[in-house]
Amino acid sequence: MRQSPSWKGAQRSSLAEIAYPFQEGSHQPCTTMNRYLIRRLLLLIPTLLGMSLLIFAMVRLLPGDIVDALVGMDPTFTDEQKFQMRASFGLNDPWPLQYVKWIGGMFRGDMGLSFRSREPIADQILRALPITIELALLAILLSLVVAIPLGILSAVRQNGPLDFWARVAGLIGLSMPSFWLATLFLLFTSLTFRWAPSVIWVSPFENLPRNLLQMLLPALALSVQLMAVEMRMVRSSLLEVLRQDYIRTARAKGLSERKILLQHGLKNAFIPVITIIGIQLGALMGGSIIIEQIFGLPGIGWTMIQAIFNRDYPVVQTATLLLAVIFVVINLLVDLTYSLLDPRIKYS
Amino acid sequence: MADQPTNPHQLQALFRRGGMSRRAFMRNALLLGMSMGAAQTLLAACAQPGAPVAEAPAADAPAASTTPKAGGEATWAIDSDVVNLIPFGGVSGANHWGKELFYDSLLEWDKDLNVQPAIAERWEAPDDTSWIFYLRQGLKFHNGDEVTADDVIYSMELQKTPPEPGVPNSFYPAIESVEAIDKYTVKFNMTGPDPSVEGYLAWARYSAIIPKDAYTRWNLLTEGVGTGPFKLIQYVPNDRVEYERNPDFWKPDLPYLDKITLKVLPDESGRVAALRSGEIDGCSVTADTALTLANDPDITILKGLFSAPRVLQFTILGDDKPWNDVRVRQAMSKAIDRQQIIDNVFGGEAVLSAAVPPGYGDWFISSEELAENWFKQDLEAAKQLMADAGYADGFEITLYSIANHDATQTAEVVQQQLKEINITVEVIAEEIGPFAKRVGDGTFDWCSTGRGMRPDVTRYVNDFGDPAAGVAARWFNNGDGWNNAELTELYQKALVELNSEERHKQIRRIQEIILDEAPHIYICQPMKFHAVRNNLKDMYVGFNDFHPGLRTVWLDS
Repeated sequence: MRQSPSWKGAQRSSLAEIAYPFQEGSHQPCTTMNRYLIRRLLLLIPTLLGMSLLIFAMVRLLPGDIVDALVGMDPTFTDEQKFQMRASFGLNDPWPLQYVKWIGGMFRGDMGLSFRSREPIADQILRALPITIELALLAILLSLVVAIPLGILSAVRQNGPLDFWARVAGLIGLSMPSFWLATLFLLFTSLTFRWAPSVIWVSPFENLPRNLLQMLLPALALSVQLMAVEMRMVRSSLLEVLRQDYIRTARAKGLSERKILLQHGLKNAFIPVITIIGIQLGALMGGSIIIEQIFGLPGIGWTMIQAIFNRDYPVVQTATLLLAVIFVVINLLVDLTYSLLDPRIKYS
Repeated sequence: MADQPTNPHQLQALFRRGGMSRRAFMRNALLLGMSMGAAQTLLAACAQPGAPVAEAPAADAPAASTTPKAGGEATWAIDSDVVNLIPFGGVSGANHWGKELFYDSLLEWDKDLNVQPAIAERWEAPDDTSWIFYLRQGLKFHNGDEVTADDVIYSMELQKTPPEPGVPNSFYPAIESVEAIDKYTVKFNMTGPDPSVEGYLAWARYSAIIPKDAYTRWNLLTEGVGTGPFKLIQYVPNDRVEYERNPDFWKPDLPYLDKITLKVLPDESGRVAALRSGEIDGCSVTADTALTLANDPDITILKGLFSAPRVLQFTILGDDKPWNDVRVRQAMSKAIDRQQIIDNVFGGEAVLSAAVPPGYGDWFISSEELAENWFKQDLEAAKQLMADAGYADGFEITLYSIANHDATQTAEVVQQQLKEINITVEVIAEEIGPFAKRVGDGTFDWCSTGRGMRPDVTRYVNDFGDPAAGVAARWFNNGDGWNNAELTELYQKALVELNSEERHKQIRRIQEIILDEAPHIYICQPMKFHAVRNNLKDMYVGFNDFHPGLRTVWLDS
C-alpha cells in the first residue's frame, strides 16, 4: 500500500486508484485483474459439473417419468410398449451413460431435444430466457428507483417521520407475496378500468412502448418485495458509513453535506446493496414462475415448471444449468464491482 | 296446480320430466322474470337433453340478433400448452385443442353427438365387415391440393401406428385394410363387425385426414395442413397458436371469424382479468369463478355437461381385504351421500352419473333414476350389509386421490360419510404424475379419479367387460378378484352388435350390473363452464371436452 506524504497527495492518489486501480509498479496494467477473472471463470467448471450431477440425480428421483406422465393412466398400454417408449427417450440406459450422453452433448453445444415436444431445447431457451431477463431487470430497476432515494432520505433524516413511515411501508411491502400483489393489481385494473396487460407478448425491439406497458404490472408486482429489502439495506449501510472517521474528516475539511453523501457516503455504502441486488437478480431468474403464469408470459420459469411436471428431463437439466451459470456470472460481476466501489479491495 | 318452479333449473327439470306444454313453460318462465328472448333460448335448450344451457341473466337481455356476421378476430384462453400439433397419437387433451380448428375427419359430431358428414358426404355399411365412405368432390386442403382416397388411406394407416412422438392409438377400430374404390370412394375392410367406427371418426381426436406423405413434407409437430375451417399460421410453444380463416372451407359461409388465437394463460385469475378487460374473448372457468362472473354486464356464462364422470375405484384382488365382498362395496355405495358431494365439492353444479355419463347420446341411465334407485343414500341398509358381511366394526382403507383436484375434495367428503358405518378412510393426495403411475400399476386399495371422453359407449365399461385385459387385469387380478360372467358375455356382444336397439339393451344391462356389484363406485359428473364476452356468439360447451364451438362462433361488434 502506498504511503502518501500529504493530504492533497492522498486525495490525488485515491482518485488515481479509482481510475487506474492496479497501475503501480506494473507494466501490464490489468494482469492481476485478468488472473482473478480467469481464476473465477475456471472455478465455474467444477461448480457447474457438481450442479449438473445434482440436478441430473434429483430430477430422476422424482416418482414417475415421461412415459408415466404420457400414458400412465391409459389402461391399454402394455409394459412392453412402455419399455419401447422409454427406449426412444434413452431412459433404459444406465444412469451414468445417460449422464455422459447429456454432458457430452452440452460440451458440443448440442442441448438436445425436449422429451415432450421434440423441439430443440436451444430454441425453447432462446425464446423464453429474454422474457424472464427483461422482467427481472425491469423489476430491479423499478425497485431501485424507489428504494435508493427513500433509503437515503431515511438515513439522512434518521428517526424522523419520513424514516418511520418508510420503514413501516417497507415492512408491509416485505410481507406481501408478489403473486398476491399481482392478483390484486389485476383485479383492480380489470374491474375499475376494464384494463389488463396485453396477453400477446411483443419484444421490446419490435414495439417498445407496448412491451413496457405489458411488463409494467408484472414487474411492479415483483418489485415491491425487492424494494423493501433494498431500502432497508441502503438505509442501514448508509447510517453505518456516515458514522465513519473519514466522513467526520471530510466534514471537518468543510465539504458540503451533499458532496459528502454522494461522493463518499453512497459509494462506500453501496457494497452490501450491490450484493443484495445480485442475489435478488439471481433469485428472480427462476423465481418469477407464478408471475409468469398469472400474466401469461412465456418465460424460462414457466418453461421449467412445465418441464418438471411433465418429467421432461433434458429441459429441466439444461434450463437449471443455464440458470446456475447466469447466477454465477451475476455474482462474479457483483464481486468485480466491489473493486470499482472500493479501491482498497484488490484481487490477486 | 303442480309444484311451481322457483328458478330456471327447476323449470328445466320439470319440463324435461314431461307433462308441461311449451305454452306453460313460457308462462312459467315469464313469471320467473325472464325476458321473452331468454325464455325462448331456455326452452330451445331444454328440448335437447344434455345440451348446454346459456344462463339467462337476471336483467332483461336485449333481443339477440341471430344472423351471424362475418369478420373479426377472437382470442380464446387455454390453461395449458398444446405441446405439439401432431395429428395422430397425441396424448394430451390440449394437443387436440390445438388441432381441432384446422383438421377434419371423415365424419363429425354435432352439438348433440349425432354423427354428421364431414369430409365424407355420405357413408354406408353394406355388410358386417365393410364400410364405404363417399368423399366430397373438389374438397381442398389448405395448400390447394384436392382431397382424394389416397389421402384417406395414408391417414387411416398412420393412425394405427403413429410416427413419433405419437403413441399407438387404443381406440382404433378393427380395420384390416383400407382401399380406394375410385378417386373419391374409400372402403374399410373390417376384421369383424365394429360399431365404433362412426364414433371413432366423428370424435376426430385421433382420426384427422391429412395430405398424403404429410409427415415427410412438413414438420407436423409445429405445422399442419388440413381441411378445417381455419388454417394454421404459427405455433409458439408455451405461448399461443394462431389461425386464420380458410376461405375454401367445405361448409359455405363458415367460418365467420377472420382470425382466431388460442393463448395459454395457466392462472385462473389471470384469465378472468383478461376476460374482463377484453384482452381475451372467452375461456373455461371453474364453477366458483362462474358465480363471481355471473353479474358482470359484459360476460355471459355458458354451462354444459361433458364427459368426465367421477368414480371411486377399487382393486379387487381376491385376497382377504374386506371390499372383496360385494356386500361391503354395496354398503359403502349406500352410505355415500352423493348429493352432499355435489353440493359441497361442485357447488351443486354436477349431476349423478353411472358408468356412461349423462349427455352421452341416449346411452346413459338418467340421474333421476339413479337417485331413486342405486344412489339413494340408505345408512340402515348399509349397516345391515356390513353386519352381514361380518364387518359391523368396520375397517381401515386408504384412498388415493389427485392433488389440487376435486378428486381430493370428494375423497374428504366420503371420508366423513363413511365414519357412519365405522370405516376409517385415510386420504392421500398425490401429484398427477405419481398418481397416474399408481393407477396404472394397480398399487392402491381405493382411489378417487375420473374418466374422460370415449368414442364409443363400450369404452366406458371395457374394464368390467374384460377384467383380464390391460390395466384392468391389475385392478381385478386378471379377473380372479372380480368378474361377472353375464357382463362379460353382454360386453362381447355389444362390441360387435350393429342393431342399435339390441345394443342399447345390452349396455343398459351392463350398467345395471356395474351398479349392483359396485366394482367401482360412481359418483357424479360435474358441469363445465365457459365464460365468454357478450359479443362472442354461438359458443357452446362441447360434450367431448374440446372446443368444437370455436369452429362456428362469430363476433357481434
